[in-house]
Amino acid sequence: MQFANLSLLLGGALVSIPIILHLVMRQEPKHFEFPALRFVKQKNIQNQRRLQLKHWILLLLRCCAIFFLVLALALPSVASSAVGTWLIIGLLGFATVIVGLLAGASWGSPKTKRLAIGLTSVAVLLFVGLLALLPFALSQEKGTLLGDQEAPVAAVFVFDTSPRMEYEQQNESRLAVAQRIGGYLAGQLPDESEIAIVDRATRGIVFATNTGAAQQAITGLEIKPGGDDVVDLLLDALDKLEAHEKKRKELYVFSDLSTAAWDSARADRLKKRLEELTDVAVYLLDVSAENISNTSISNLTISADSVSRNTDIYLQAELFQEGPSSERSIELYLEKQDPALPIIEDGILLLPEATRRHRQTVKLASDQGALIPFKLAGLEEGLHHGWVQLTGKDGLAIDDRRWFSVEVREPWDLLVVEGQNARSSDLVDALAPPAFLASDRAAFEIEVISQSKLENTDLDLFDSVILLDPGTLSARNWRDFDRFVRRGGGLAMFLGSNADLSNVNSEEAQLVMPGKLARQWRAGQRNWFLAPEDYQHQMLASFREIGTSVPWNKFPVYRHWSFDSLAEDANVIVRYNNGVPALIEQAKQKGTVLVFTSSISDDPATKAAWNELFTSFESWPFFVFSNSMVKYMVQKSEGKFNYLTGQRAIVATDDNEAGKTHLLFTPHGDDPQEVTPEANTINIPFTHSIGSYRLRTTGSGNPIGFSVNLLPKSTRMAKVELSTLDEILGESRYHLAQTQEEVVREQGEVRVGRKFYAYFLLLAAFLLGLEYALSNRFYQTEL
Amino acid sequence: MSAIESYLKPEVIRQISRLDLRAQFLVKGFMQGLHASPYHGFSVEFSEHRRYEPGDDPKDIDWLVYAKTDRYYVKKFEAETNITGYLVMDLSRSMGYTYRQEMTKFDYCISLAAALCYMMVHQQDPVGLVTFDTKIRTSLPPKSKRQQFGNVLSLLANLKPTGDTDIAHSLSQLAAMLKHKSVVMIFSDLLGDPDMVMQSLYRLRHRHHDVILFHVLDEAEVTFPFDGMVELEDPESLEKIKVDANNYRADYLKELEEFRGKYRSECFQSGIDYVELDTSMQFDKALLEYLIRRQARF
Repeated sequence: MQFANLSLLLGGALVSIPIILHLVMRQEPKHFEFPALRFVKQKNIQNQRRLQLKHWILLLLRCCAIFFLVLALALPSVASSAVGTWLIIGLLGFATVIVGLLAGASWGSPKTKRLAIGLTSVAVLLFVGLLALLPFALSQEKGTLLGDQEAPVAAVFVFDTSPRMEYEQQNESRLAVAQRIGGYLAGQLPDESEIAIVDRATRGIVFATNTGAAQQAITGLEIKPGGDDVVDLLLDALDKLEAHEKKRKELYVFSDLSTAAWDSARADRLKKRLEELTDVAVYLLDVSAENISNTSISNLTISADSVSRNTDIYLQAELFQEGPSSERSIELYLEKQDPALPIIEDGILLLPEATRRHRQTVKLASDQGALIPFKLAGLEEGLHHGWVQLTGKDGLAIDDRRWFSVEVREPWDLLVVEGQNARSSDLVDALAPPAFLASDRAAFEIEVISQSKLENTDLDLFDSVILLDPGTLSARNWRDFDRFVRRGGGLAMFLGSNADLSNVNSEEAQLVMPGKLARQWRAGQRNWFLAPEDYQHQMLASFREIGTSVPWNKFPVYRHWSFDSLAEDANVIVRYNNGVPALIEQAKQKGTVLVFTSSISDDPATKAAWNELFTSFESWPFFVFSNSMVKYMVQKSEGKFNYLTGQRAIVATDDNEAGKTHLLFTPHGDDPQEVTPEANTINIPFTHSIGSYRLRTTGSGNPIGFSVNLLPKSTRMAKVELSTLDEILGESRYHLAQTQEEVVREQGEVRVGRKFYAYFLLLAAFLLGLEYALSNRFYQTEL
Repeated sequence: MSAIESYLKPEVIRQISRLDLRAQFLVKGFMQGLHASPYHGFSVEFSEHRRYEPGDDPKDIDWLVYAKTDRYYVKKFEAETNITGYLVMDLSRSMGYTYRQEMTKFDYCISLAAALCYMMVHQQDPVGLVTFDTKIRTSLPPKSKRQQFGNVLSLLANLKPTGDTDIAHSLSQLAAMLKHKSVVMIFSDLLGDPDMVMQSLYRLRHRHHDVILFHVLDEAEVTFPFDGMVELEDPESLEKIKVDANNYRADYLKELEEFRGKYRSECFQSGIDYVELDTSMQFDKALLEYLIRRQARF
């Protein structure tokens, strides 16, 4: 409870006046002779007691009346969150006084002794309840600063500038509504207030002392597809407010309250911070639209960012219909390759011409999704940009289009090194089937050599190297492999009977190996097989949909190696069913090392095979697995061409153009920026705009680039439940408002709290009236 | 109200300083109001005829005279039997009290006693006077001569209510003292133990005395007119009590009513006339009470 006129509380001392009058200035009785004193004496004692009681009751009423009058003039107010508790306290207090008075009155008469005991007990219980509730009420108000509505505040306006806020209704986007209310509120803040405007792209919160500047900043807000989510913004804002010197702190959040906005892993932290910073008043302004109708391409997946020539590219668009069902057409456009573009001509970004490759009409039921597949075949080598778009208009345009970039390149060069007696044919046939080789569709171009020829082979000619049952390798070999991997090459090893413990555990080998090799294991009568625990790893993505039905147990493993200990950064991707790691991955700078602890290259005719992964009947799982493994290995070192907003894009430049300055054309169509590659790569951290980013040197040369899309499902506008908001922000910790009027009223309640002036004045008047009535009754002259 | 009748009011009588005049005024005013001839009809010895006047008892009409004269005459008789009366006056200090009236209880009682004395002497009833506080102080034997009136008045005029009181003891003393059947008229505020007082009254009754108990209280003692906090002091015991008068009035009046009620019922049971008076009342009530009592004797 706080008081606007705290000094007036000193007037509470006036309560002492009736007490002094009662105790000190006691009226001297008039003296009379009276012979019939015997009639007076009879009931004198009982009467005196009743008289005293009446005096005390009147005294109490007078004191209370003065007390409440002073309290009313001191303009008390309590935080709205604590109003309920204070009301209960008030009622308890009132009940205590009333029951106390009744108890006192009953003590006056010996006939009502039992009643008096009962009433006194009730009064004591009420009083104890009152005392128990008081600290709770005070704790609820801890830190909340109330009082003058016009005291300056430190306010942070957090605007959710996510693409959802572009949703238009009645010709006004959500952001425009937020800007309108925000501008108004900024103008309404008391003089000398400090305001900070925060949106998804804000880096570093700065308080402006000028309301006009704040309003201008609000007007200039734009949709930012990338950037921090609301919860992160709020955390930053709270940090700033905590450090701010102003006593009164307010946080305004303008959001469409969509589930996507508030679905954050850091929600717990936000709740904790809000619990800590009780002096920050939080206003949540709901600018959401009613009756939403929107069709979105909520995600677009591409089979691979980089494919070898003649490989088909599969795209899958995920549509979702919010609101009433509708029929929409979805189209796929692909840009033609033009090394001369893009350029800026007369301030306009000229892009290569795009042709529509597919069109499909989809009927979408309300709140239902649909998956639309596309296939692109026969693309020429080089980088291709394209997009998938919905035709027609809906409330939110930004999610009607998603971009993609895909690189078609020559087949990856693979070097397969056979150890002694190792047989590479199974693996080679699996990676580059003869039929594919014949039609020039094979993803890999494979060169097979024996281990003895390794010394004379230039590893840099290959994208990846596969060692089949390697024997003892020289220290130079290990160092070459180490260098090869660190530069971005992929190295896969299938360890078999040729492996030499001392060699593999040597210092040079350990540059490459993910740990110290321990020993060989034989299954004997035991049935060992590959047993992936889950299919989360990208390498196992092909199995995800059929995960549980892959018959791994039909492909027994008879022998395998085990490691003593694995490096900390080593990652076990698949284990055998006995728990021993089967496939271990370790990233080494730009490249990757994969170690499989069983051999797949044994000739079943010469000796007992280590497993039947390739040799068993219908050995398709390992066929798929080996392909995934090698593709994962080569693509790890290849460029990624599709990003989500906010991700850092890394683009590899052509070897020929390393070190040359490139021009970056963003989807905005702004003037291109100059960027210089470092170690053949260009880092672009600011991928906040969606669309295709293009880079080209000032001279000739093929353009490079990538595409940036919204996070999947980020434009779903389903509103978050209030209970969820309570969980994130804390119940009663925020004030929800939809209109200017509502927020102004909430502001009033938080700043000034709930005023009790009228109630106390009323109470004082009531008490004075009661005192008058009682005193009249007590002292009435009976004629 | 006629001028004489107004003399029945204590505030008017107070202005007359001479006690004998007071008595005369009282009796004449009282008689005027009665519209009857209280002087007559009590004796048996004929004295004279006079014209019938409204108010005369028709049974007193002398029908022989009517036959002769065709006019109504009533017979007048001399009193033949006398009633000995004793005026018993309480001298306690409390009797000298008044709060806001013209007369103290004592003054009131003296005026009343004088008036009764006047009436009795006028009717040639022997009248005596006894005063008491803790015991009987003075005693004037009853006589019916005219000068007895003067004697009584001179004694009454010199009385001062100054002492403590023991009504019961004094009345017991009186009972022992009276030899013949008499009318005993006691003037007191009865501020003593009612049980003891009643005991002594029973004793008087037991000796076949007619007892008229004039219970005279001050108007303030009857109405308790005080306001606010007051400190009350008993003039006899000097005991003091602080009370809130407004708050206490109801209880006081109730207590007083109980007190008077007790006397009323007990006196009724024992054949004592109990006359409640206060100093604001006209005297006629007291005088009438005496006359009724006297008439009842025959």
